[in-house]
Formats: sequence, C-alpha cells, structure tokens
Amino acid sequence: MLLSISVCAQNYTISGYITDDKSGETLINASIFDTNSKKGNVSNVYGFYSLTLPKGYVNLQYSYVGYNTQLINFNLNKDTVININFKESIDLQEVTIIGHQRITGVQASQMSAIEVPISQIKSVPTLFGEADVIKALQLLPGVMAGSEGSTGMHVRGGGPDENLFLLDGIPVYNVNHMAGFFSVFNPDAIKNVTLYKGSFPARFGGRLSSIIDVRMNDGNDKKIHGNVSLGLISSKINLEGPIIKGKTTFNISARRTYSDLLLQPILKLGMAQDFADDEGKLTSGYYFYDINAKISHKFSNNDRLSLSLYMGDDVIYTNFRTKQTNQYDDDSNTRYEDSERMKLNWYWGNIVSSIRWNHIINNKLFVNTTAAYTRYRFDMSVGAEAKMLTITPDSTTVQSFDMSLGYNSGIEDMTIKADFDYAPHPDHDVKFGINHTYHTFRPGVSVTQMNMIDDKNTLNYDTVIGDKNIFSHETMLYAEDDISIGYAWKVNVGLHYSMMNVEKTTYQSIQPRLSFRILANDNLSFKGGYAAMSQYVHLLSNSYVSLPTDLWVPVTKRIKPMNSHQYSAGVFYNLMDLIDLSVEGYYKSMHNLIEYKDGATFLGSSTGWEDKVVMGDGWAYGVEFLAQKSFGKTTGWIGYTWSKAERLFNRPGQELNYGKVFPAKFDRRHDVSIVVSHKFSERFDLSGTWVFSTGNTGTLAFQKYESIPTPDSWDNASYDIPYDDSYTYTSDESMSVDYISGRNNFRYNPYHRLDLGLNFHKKKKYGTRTWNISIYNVYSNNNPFLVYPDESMVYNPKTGKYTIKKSLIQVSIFPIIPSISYSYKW
Amino acid sequence: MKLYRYIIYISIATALIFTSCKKEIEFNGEISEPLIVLNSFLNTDSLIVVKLSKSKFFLSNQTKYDNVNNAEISLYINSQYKEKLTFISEGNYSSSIKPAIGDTVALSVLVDGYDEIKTSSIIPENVIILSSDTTYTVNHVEYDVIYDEIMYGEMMYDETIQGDTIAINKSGYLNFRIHIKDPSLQPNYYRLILKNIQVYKHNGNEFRRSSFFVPINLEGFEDVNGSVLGMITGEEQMSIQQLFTDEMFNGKEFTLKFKTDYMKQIILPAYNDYFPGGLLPDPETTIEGYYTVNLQSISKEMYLYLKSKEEAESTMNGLFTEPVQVYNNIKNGVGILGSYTNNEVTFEMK
Repeated sequence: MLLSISVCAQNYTISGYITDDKSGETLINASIFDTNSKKGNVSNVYGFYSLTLPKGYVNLQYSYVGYNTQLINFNLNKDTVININFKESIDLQEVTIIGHQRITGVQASQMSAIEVPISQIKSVPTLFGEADVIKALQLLPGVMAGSEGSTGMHVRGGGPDENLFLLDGIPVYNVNHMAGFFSVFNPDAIKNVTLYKGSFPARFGGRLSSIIDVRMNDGNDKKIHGNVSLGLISSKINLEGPIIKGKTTFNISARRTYSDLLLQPILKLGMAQDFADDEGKLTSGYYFYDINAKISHKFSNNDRLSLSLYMGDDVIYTNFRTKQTNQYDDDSNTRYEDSERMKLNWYWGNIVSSIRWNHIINNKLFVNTTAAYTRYRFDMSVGAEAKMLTITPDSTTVQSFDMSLGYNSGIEDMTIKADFDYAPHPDHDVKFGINHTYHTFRPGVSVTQMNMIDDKNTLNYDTVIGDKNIFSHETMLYAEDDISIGYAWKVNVGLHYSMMNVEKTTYQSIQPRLSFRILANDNLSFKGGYAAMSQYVHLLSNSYVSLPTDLWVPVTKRIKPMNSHQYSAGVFYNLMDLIDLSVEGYYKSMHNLIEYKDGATFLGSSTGWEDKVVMGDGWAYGVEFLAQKSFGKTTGWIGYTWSKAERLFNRPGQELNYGKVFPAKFDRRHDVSIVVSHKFSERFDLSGTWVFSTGNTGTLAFQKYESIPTPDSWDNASYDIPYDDSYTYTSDESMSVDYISGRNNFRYNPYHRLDLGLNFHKKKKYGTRTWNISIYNVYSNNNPFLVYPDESMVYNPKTGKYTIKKSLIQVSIFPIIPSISYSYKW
Repeated sequence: MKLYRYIIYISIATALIFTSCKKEIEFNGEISEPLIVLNSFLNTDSLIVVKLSKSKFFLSNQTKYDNVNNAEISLYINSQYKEKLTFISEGNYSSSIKPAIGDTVALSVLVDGYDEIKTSSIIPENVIILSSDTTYTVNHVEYDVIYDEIMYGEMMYDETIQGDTIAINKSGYLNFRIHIKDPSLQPNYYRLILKNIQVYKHNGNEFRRSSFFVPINLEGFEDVNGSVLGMITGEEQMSIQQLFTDEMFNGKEFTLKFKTDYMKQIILPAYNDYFPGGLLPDPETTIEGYYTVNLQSISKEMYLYLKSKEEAESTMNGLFTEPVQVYNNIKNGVGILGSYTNNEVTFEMK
C-alpha cells in the first residue's frame, strides 16, 4: 500500500505541534485545513500534524473546538514547521468552528466514533457526585450500561469484556473501583476520550466491540496549577506545572475514598464497650485510591519523552486482636496470658506505566515508540493467630496456633510498540506500526499455611494449590491510509494482522478495515464501513457486578479466539456549524463467543474454566441517532438507539437454551439519553441527564411441573419399593421442576432516571472555588436491578391458617441520592 | 424551633436515601396455559407406567398438580403399534407388556384441547461387570476413653481425669473397584449408586432391614471445583449419585474407582467393665452389613434430565448464575421419558 503512493516533487510539507496557549498542553484532533486546495488533516494523539500540499499560495485554517481559529497565509515553497498555540475563546457563541477535519465530523472518513469533551464528562451528574468517564460514555447511543450504577459497558450488543480501554495507548484490564460503581479514570488527569464502536481504524485491535482511547494530560508548561476537591465519599488533588519552563512538565492527580477513616471511631467505640477487658482492637474498612502521574520533557522540537504512570487499588482490610493478661490461679500460683489475632487483607488494582518517545524523523514522518508495563492483580490474605502462655514460677508453657490463607491472581503485560504517522502526499495520510506484548496470566494460586504448637506436639502444614502461570506472545502489525479522492470521496483502508502464541498453539488473524465518506456538500456526508476484529482473551466474570476475582484468561486449544464482522452505514449532517447530527445503522456478527453453562459460575479460580463455558455465535443490529452540541453556553447531546442483540449456542454438546436463539443479557430495544449542560453565568451552571431504556432481560420459570421419583434414589428411599408390576407413581409438590421456556425469557420493567448537577462558582483571590450539588435519580424511581419469584406465609385471620403467597419481587438499589462536593482550582 | 426544622429535613432526606429497595411487582409477561406433563422411567423388569399431569403457573397458589385422567396413550415399540395404555389411577397409565433391551419405546398422547404429545426412548444395553473388589484405607484413629466426672462440693466441674480406653475408632475410605466392559461404540450413559444395607437378625431370623444411600466420590469424573474456597480446602466431592458418560472408555474395558467415607469401631475388653453386655444387650441378635453397588445404563435423555435436575437443585439462582433449564424430551409438553437397565453388585462387610 505504501509503495503505491507516488510522491510528487512539487509538494512541500507543513508540520508542527498544536498546543493550548495557556497551558502548553498538546491538542488532539485539532484541524488544519487549506481552503485553497481543500486539503486538510488533524493533529495526532501527540498533538503533531503534518500536511503535504502542492507548491504555491496556501491559506491555512487551524481550528479546535472552544478555541479561536487561526489563519495563516503564505507562499509554500519549502518544507515548513509551524507550531500553533491556540488561544481559548472568550465567548464560545461567536467562535467560528471549522468542523471539517475533526476525526468524527461530517468530513472525516471515520464513523462510529465519538469524542466526548472532558468538560462535558465532568459536568455529567453522577452517583455520589463522582464524575466518571465510563458513565458518561454509557450515555452515548450504541452503548448500554450494565446493571444500575455499574461501569459495565455493552457496545453494539457485545459483551463486557469486548471493550479495550487504553490509557495513553496501554491497555487497562480492570477499569472498576468499588464493584464497578466507579471507574479508574480520574477526569482531572484526562485530556481526551474517544470511543470507537465500529469502523475501527487498523491501528486498533484486540477486542470485538469497542476501543476507548483515553489520553492523559501532559501538564502545564507555563506555571503551576492545581485543583483540590472534597466530596462525600472521596477527595482529589491535581497538580500540574513546569519543572523546567517550556521544557519539562509534570501532572499528578490522586484521589482516595475515606469512608473507612470515618468508620474507625465507631469501631473503636464498639470495641471499648464489648471488649473492654480484653484490650480489644479492631480496625476495618474499605477504600480505593488512584494516582495518575506524567512527566514530559521536550529535548528539541523533534524529540519529546514522557513517562506516565497510573496506579490504583481497592483495599478491604480487617485487623482484630484481643489480649488477656490478668488471669490468675492462686492455688497453683499460675498466670495465664491469652492473645488472639485475625487479619484480613484484600488488594486489587492496576499499574499502568509507560515510557514514550516522540520523534519527528522528517516533516512527513513521525514515530512514537513506547515501552510499557501493565498489570492487574488480586491478592487476598487471611490470617488467624491464637497464643496461650501458662506461666508458673518454674516454667512457661506455650500453646499456639496460627494459620494463613493467601490467594493471588492477575495478568501482567510487557509491551513494546512503534507507531508511525506518514504524510507523503496531499491525498494520503498513512499510519503504520508494530506492537509486541508478552502476557503473563496468573490464573490463581492459593497458599495455605498452618502451624500448631502445644506442650507435646508440633503440627506444620504448608501447601500451594493452583494453576501455573501462562505465558503468551501477542504481535500486531497494521497499516492504514486515509485517502482523499477528489472533493467528495475519502476512504480509510487498512489491514490489521495479529498473532497470539499461547501454550504451543498459535492463532493468527488478518483483519481488513474499510471506511469511506461521500461528501454531498460541506455539511452533509454519507459514510460506510466494515471492520473485522479478533480477540484472544476472555474475562471470567459474572454479568451483573464487577468482582475483584474477575480474571483474564487467554484462548486455549479448545476455546478459540472470538471474532466479529461489523458493517455500518450512516448519514452525518452539520447544522449551522453548531450541532452534529448523525444516524448510523450497523450489523455485527460475532463468533466463538463464550457463555457460562446453565448454573455455572466463576468465583475466582480459573481451574477447569473451559468446562464451565460453551462457545457459540451472536449477532446484533441497530440504528443510532445522535445530536451533539459540543460548544456554546448550552452543550450536550440527545442519543437514541434501537437495537437487538441475540445469541445462538447450538454447537453439538455446547447447546444453551435447547440450541435455540435467545436474547443477549443486556439486549434492550430502546435506549434514550438526553444530556444537557447550560452555563447561566460565570457563577452558575446546571446540568441534567435523563435516561430511558427498555428493561433488561432475566430468566424465569413461568411454569412448574411435577416430577416422579428417580429409580433407586432418596425420592423413594423411604418406601424402598422395588419397581415391579404393581408400582404406580406418586408425587407431591416438593418434587416440582421449574420449567424455563428460554434463556432471558423475561423482560424487566423499563429503566428511567433523571440526574441533576448544579455548580456554583466564585472567583477567589488565588483561584476559583466551586460548590457542586448532584442529585442522582431525582424522582427516586425504583429501577429494577433484580427480579425473582418469592414465597411467603400469610396469616389469614378469618380461617386462622397460614397460606402460601407467591409473588414477584423487584429489587432496586439506588433511590434518590443527593451529594455535595467542594473544589478549589487555581 | 430551628433545630426542630433541621431534624425534619434530615429525617426526610434519610428516609429518601434508605427507601426500601424491595417491592412486589405485577407479572408483565404472558400467562401461558398449563402444559401436559408426561413422566416415566422404563426398564425391562417392569410394565410401562406413565404419569400424566398438568403444569401450573409459577405464581399460582394452587398446591397440587392436576392429574390428567382422560388421556389416550398409544404405545409403539420399534415403530409398531402395540396397544393403548390402561388408566389405573391418579394420572397413572400402564401397559400390559414389558420392553426389552434395544427397544425404541414411543408414546403418543391425546388430551382434549392439546396438540398431540409425542416422546420416545431407547432401552439401553446393559453394562458388563467383569470383576469387582474393595479395599479399606485408614486415615485417622481415635480412642474412646472413659472420663470420670469429679465433684467439688456442690459444684460440678467439667474437669476430667483420663481413664480406660474402651474402643478404637478408625476412619478412612472404603475403596471400590468395578471393572466393566462398555457395551458398544455408541455413546453410553451411566448412573452409579451405592447403598448400605443393614440386616438385623435374631437367632438367624431377619427382623429388620434398613438401607440408605451413601455419598461417593468417583475418581476421574469429578465436577470442576471452581471456587476459591474449594481450591483452598481441596475438598473432595461426594455425591449420592454419580452420572457419567463413556467418553473416556467408549467401547473398551475400564475400571471405575470410587470411594466412600468409612468408619470402623473396635470394641476393647474394657468396654464391658463400663457397659456390661457390650453394644448389643442380646447376644443372640446380630447385624449383617452389605454394600450394594447399582451401576445403571441409562438412556441419553435420562442422563441429561437427571444431570440438569441435579444442577438445578444445587444452583443458587440470583446474581451470579443463570438458572438451569431442566432437560425434557416431550414434544408439545414437558417431562421425561427415560429408560435404564440395572446391574447390581453386593459386598458383604465384616
């Protein structure tokens, strides 16, 4: 493909970095457009752009949402470097935005991708007032949230493990805190979020359903800025600034929940009352923290280096101890000392670290080289200790018992990759690269130790149970070219090759990618796309809530890689340069999906997981509508999705639902979300979110029927009757069987919720303070989380008897939840 | 007054936050008509007995199932019409003939208001037992020791002084080995049960017999033990019935190895010092113990039904698992028509 590009000697290249004038932060997807030749490009994820144009007079427009457009005219007669510092617009209403070249706009060849401004993410009102990247993405069309309050994502009918979360290009395996009610992405540390849900560019791969590309801030290179925020459940701090002005910057964000700290005085009080004589001490609680840090250094205009780190853990801990030292037996002149101790510690979390070198080889060729380490681990330890001393004037006897259980699992990746951007010609924007990852899967090992000592015996027990680590190599190669063909046509064509070698088995996949745009006029385009995707890892989990025991496992000889083919088409319209409107339709087929067998569950061990799952196929199709306004006093979007997602598991021996088609777990026909933020003044802004969706599916047995005693079983053991000529079947209700007509055969009630967020700002001497009041589920709708049949005994006063009442019970978890937070930004 | 108002505000806010999250809801699905339920297990030693009843809506407060007493059931063996089953009582219908090994037994049921209900099953071939034996493994030994209670004044202390040893309790496993020949290259399905039978005799005459099912662990056919707790404890799975296939030994000879918990008590002479007459006051009364192993060849439908029913009963439905769909092979109805042949081996315990 690269060879086919003919380089014209009459062309020159304009290149450079695009940054924010105030902070020096590089800007992603800023537009560069030559109004004479009608050629353009966008800055890449490192803020670098390169535009090759024919020799002659050029009229360049540099634009970025929320910033003043810059115009540069000159005669292009040599390769030129132009670094642009964008100034933030004072009045957004009056800014002329050239949306042409935005990655997701009308004129881009990319479709099925949405950029959500980080300011919009921060303004979306959420549970407990914690702004959350994933929860903002859940409000976009084509994205279904998992169960209420969770960060689970189901994109275009895909499963929760089919989304690739990239933090500065490096995968994050567990994106959840607190059983999935919060995500690991702290909005204070984030610059840009782009969601790809179809028509994947060839540079992305590894998951079937979506790519969430999250980019961290580099840090302000002019002066030190900060932000402190105190919320109901957590506090955050963010600091950024130059280490060497104009050269080296840092950005660090940290947050921690503190419900456990508030709990300690209560525990202390309880212990003081209940264990006053035993010198009892108890500390216990749960918290999570995360730290994002980045240091960037500019060696020259051509070389930049950055180090970034994300580190976060969820922690559950309990430490309990008692001690009795004042027990005496006067007759035998013996003193006894007893002490007991119990300790429990659970840690789970990620580390994502990388070193990145951006190098401009020449003004047409840019390379980013990254070395990265990422790991998710779950460590659990439980320990108990008891010790008794018998002290007489002549001797001291020790009796002791201690026991410890440990369990740890996780995944660890070491990655090296190089990504090239090459702009050889006005009509070609080429990206190519290579990526190699060495995976270490730690499937779960438990260690048990026990020591017992008394005056006669000593018992020691030490055992390790679990599977060995699994090592694998995954390699990816890609090349894509964004080709402009005349005024109307733009085509992005690419190829993604991936290879996974695990336990002497090698899987390979060649995934063609294609997307095209036909421009009807400057504001209207038609787009289409196709993407094949492959996935070599599975998440062993359960579908409702995220547990720390969720475990990534590689494909095996038996469990083949998942793959998908997605076709999409859409119409994109830019209304008065204010609102982006789009309607997209898609059809996605998925193969080698895995589902748990009926009754099977995963609780932490990968042992035998292949026996618990079955492989099958699925498909999803739907239509998505989006109207998005990204700037001005009023911003937000209205999204609507009509979709259907089904599964078919009918391979011999792997049947689910009697081998018939059934709806996917989070198949919902209608999904509406309205997100609006309005800035009334410098001092006050209001945001609101309303969501409505068809209820989730569940599996219920609508009929019950009687069974007969199984020959030679407890069912008829009391009679001990042989089966002979005279035997007839008797049965009672205790031998009922539930008849389930199909998997996911029951539809929960619809889900709807209104959230509001109010921000009160005030300029202070050194910065701005903001009070935020958020109300989650304003009208306290009882949204279904779980539905199950129930039986209860009801007393009938007329008859004086109890009767069984059968009913259907709905469990809801979040009623109205108001919260308040305070932040100070300087 | 101001404080009072604050308390009201806080109370309202607290009540809203902790609003009960559980409520009864109306069933919004379609209430389906009752289904005809057909159940029967066939074997070569018995006449064919079929039980017909109707299913009921899951929220119905009806306590009993309605029997179907007016059905017309036609019996076909190897596609040949044989007879109409005779109604006996309470939804039970019986044939006058017994099926043979290899027979395909098909039933056609007509009930007013319902589509024709159809089902069939093939009587499986019997497994050949070539040999069998048992061994006993002792894991743990305990001694029964007589303790004397000591009285101090009016208070009774639980302190004791060690006395005589009167019995030795040995616990471990009783290991069974059954060498079989899988009858054909077709997939075969098996069910294994172990029963303990105790025969009480007085002067050699049986006066009482008790039997109970004993949990067993079948080596090589354990279900996947997937929990963290299971991994840590390394517990062995014991089950009253073992359902398995011949996937590992299709058409070949194979030795089934299984075990059960076993405890043996040895009475020492000192026992009689404390309990004159020993365990049995009447020296002429004896207890004879047997273990019977039932190795049943079962039809595929019966295997799938029992397996899924067992899983459905042991699964806690809720957040973490999908409910188990119990297998059924009744077209236009529900239930099971299964078949089996039985093989029994008896071991006398001494």
